[in-house]
Amino acid sequence: MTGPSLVVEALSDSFGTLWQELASDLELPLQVLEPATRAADAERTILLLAAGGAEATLVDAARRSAAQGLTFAAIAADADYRLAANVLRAGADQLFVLPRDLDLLRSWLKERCDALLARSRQRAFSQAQVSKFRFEGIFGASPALVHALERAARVIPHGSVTVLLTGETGTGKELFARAIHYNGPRREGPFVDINCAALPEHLLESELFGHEKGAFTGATVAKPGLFEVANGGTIFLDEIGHLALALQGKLLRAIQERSIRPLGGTRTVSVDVRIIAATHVDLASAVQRREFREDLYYRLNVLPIALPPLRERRDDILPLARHFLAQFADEYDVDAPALTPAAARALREREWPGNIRELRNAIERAVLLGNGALDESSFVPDLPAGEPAPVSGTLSDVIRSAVQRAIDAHGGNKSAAARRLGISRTRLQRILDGEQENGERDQNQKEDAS
Amino acid sequence: MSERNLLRSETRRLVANGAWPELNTLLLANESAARSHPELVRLLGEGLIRTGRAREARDWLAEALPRLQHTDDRLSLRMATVLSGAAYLELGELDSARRAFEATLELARYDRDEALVARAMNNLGIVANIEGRWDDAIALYTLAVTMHQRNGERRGLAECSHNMAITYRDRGELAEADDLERRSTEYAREAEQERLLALARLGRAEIALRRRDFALAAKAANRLSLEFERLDDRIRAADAIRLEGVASTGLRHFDRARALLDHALDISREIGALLNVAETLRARAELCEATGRMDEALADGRAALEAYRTLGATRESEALAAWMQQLESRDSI
Repeated sequence: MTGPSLVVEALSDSFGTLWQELASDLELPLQVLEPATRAADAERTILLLAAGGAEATLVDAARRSAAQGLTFAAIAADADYRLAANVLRAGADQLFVLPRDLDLLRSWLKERCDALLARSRQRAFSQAQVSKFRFEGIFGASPALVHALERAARVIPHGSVTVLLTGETGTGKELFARAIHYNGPRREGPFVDINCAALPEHLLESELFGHEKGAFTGATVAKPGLFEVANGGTIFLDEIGHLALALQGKLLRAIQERSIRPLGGTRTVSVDVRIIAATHVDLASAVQRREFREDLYYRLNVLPIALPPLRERRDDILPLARHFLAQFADEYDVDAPALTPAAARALREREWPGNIRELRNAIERAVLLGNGALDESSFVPDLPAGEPAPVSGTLSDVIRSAVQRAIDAHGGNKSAAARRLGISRTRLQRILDGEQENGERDQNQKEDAS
Repeated sequence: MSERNLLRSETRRLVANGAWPELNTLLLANESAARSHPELVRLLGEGLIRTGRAREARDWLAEALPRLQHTDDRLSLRMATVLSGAAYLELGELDSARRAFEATLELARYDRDEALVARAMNNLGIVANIEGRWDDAIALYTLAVTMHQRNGERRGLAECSHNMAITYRDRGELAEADDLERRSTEYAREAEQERLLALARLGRAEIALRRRDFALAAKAANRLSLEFERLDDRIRAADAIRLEGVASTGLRHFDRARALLDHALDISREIGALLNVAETLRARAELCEATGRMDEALADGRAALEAYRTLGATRESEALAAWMQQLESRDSI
């Protein structure tokens, strides 16, 4: 791909070798055109209309360039406020009077150059993501997965249809979301993902909708929200089942009205986004328990896609495992280890509570530690049982470590880990956050009892 | 060509060649000319930071910024503002760093400089993480990631994902942290950023260690110490060696652990990396404790504590002090 070039439409012979100097400073190819010659590839051109001594011709030249959709600056050797106003009204981004404004011109050129490079980088990134998240790259032939892929294929062309992805942790919800975005009409727009369980309510609200300066204590600067940043693209709301009720109402309004209002603000911002929500909890049950708004549930549940757990698509395990083996052998620059029949049987028979994420981690570990061939023992972490941890610590550390092991044993599913430990998910999160041992004990006991 | 133009052109040549020490010498020798030109102001600020002269950079930029605000050179103003934040951050002056990055954010948003908006958000996330405001850090990194995605900026994506992984790791959410480090490796590979790739892998090795998967942590750290040596990054190489030492303690390969930790400590002391020194001393104290050498454990622990306190690492020093208290009371029984 060719980079930007500096194009000067010379309306007079002034300024001598200046253009060569500027082009050489920025390492740009230079093209000097006669007046009224059509430049221009808007995506790659930094255009200057140079009129030292021929200022009267600037306004017409500016109109011509503006009509071509080009961003350009006008250069003069002398200009009064009337000329400046006319040139800017005709569409120039800036007017520089040389030699006085030479430094400003350099800064403007650098910014234009950076902006064009950024645009071309953005386009290359989008194209790379399209090929990275092809649906053909999603492995598997099990009926449940094929059904999910068929449903996704139906929704892809309709860029404004909301999608709800359901499935256990590690089943590939995010991969599906990205595939829907990068294969659909919004692929040139941003893909914005946020884990709704990762932030407390007040922060999540500001994160989603943005805030104005002074909206709350600590809001020392205005901040855009993810909905605003995602405009033209897709917003992926992971773990939507953990969204607080108050925020559910605001999300519903955003979906219905296609606009948001930043915290502490009076302006309404229109947003054009596709919403993809994902959850591993049963939202219908959450509605019955009044933990999730029914109206929002129906808004999100326009086209639900259920992703099956790995234990329900056992025929897919070995092809996936072989794919990961090749991938990690390449990544770590080692020979791909052979998969013995015993290892293949072990892979197929395991329950994989953490689903594809767990399978991928197990294969990666086996590749990194393996010595040639993989057998059934390759997929079991050889932790020294009963030995003290090298990082010792307080009682809180021990509790936190036990919680972490439970989460790992459930493939990252915190709700399942909390159930296994007999505590609420809220308490589990607090332990991970490093709760105060004494002050919160009573409250925790109440929560666990509820 | 005028003297000022000559100075600028020579400065640009040095920037293009990455000759930052020479740039500092040139501009400090022509300080008053440098002071009067916005581009040279920011380039000297950058040169001083890049050569580890954060204190001088802070003072230079603090003096120059009010003047830059009265020029029309918005690019230099924005860059000088973010650089002043970087200098404060380097010096551990977090309040000033936060103010500078917030000012950067406002300038960048006003000027629609999306790359700098992302950078400011990322830096504010780093400040929040150091201050233990993990939720804030995650919120800021999420926005930064989004902005980098919009700009197709893979290097920024790799950095932000790695930073966010560190915050999740600090919160004890290892599955999320590992996913983010994995994503960081993908972006770093796509951006052909070898050092960032190795950093993300080191992050994953640390996560394996926290999951008590010592064999995986040791193997990964071993590979990474070689990789960082190849990249001539001795601080990170020492960190990887320390990590392998800790994992070897977990595997009860005590002799190997001792040799690795001694080696990591030697390198860290030689290059004056105080945080590495503190972490390695703490790891060696734990090794000594595991092998019943309590006096050595306490001596290393005390030295680590002193280093943490010098660095102002409150969380680490409190955790270590609590551990040592347990050790002392157990030892006295």
